Amino acid sequence: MDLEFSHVTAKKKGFVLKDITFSVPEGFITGLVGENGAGKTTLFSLVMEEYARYEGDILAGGMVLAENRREILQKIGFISREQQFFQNFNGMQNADFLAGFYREFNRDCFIEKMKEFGVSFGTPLKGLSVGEFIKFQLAFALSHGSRLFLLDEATAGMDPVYKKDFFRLIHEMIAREDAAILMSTHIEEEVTRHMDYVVRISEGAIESVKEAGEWKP
Amino acid sequence: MEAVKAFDLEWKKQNSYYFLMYRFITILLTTLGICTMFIPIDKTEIVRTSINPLLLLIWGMHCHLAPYLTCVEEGKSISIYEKLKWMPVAKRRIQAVRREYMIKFCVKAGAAMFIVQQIGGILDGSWGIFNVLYPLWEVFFLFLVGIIDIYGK
Repeated sequence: MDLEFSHVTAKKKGFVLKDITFSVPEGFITGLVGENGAGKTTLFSLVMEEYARYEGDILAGGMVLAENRREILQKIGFISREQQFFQNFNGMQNADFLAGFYREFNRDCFIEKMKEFGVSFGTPLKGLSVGEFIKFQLAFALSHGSRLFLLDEATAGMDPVYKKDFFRLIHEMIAREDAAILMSTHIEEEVTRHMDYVVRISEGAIESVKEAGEWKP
Repeated sequence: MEAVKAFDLEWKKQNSYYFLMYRFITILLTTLGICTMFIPIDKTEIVRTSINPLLLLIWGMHCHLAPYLTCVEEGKSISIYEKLKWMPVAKRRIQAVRREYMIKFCVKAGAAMFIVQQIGGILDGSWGIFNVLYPLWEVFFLFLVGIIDIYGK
């Protein structure tokens, strides 16, 4: 499922996103790069939040987000360290709580992915490492048939071993699934090694949209 | 709405001790509040005689709704709406289900209050129209507070 921002302008807590226009095509990893406070997380919140206010259009899979939010969110996997899950409960309990909200949630798939990613079933989410928490979110997203993955600084604080494993999973997802990935990062190495397209954002505005091969830090 | 109820069912199952504790307090407070309704309304001091049962019932209703409205993490109370904000469900649907629970509570408590107040009024020999109106306005205020509880989070 692709994602398209078309002349999106939004004001949030004094911060302004100005005329954001770019696409996240299926089958590719699009990097969203920019310094802290550039507007990366604000952009994700426009997609995920129910009462997000903005001008312009956000389309996912050809559908207008504002008119089809519930339908579109069925296919979005949002992965972030700030993700709202129930921290006092383990991964399986969280999946049991939230499965009902997703028509296509597959419990067996979730169990399989958790085992594949090596995430403990019995540990409460607050007891997982950053890498494990991110992998739990990936397992959950894959289990409800996500086709658009939004990763907000997912690798920040992750150790190199986990990071290598994480990107292997990301590339497998892109190769296997009919998926699109938008991933924010400010780590140059990740951009040059793993992204197909790079969108640079600064002070709430898009500076450039390029193929990763043309991008320079 | 079915998805919200499925969540609530699982939430209640995984938080059984939390729910049991709140249920005990709800029953205690609501029973006390209903029992005070045996005292027939004093027409000359309506506010004073109606405030005690109302406060007890509001507190009881708050305890009835609390486990569906908040969760506690690291000592902080967090709204369930906040936890579910990125799920494919509209906030108004979650609120609608909580409103349903609140209305059921008001109806049951209201019916009990009504019956008890009529009995109290008849036994006291002072039964009149105020004995009918009194439980109705108690339920009305209870409903208002419930709405604020649900939609104010």
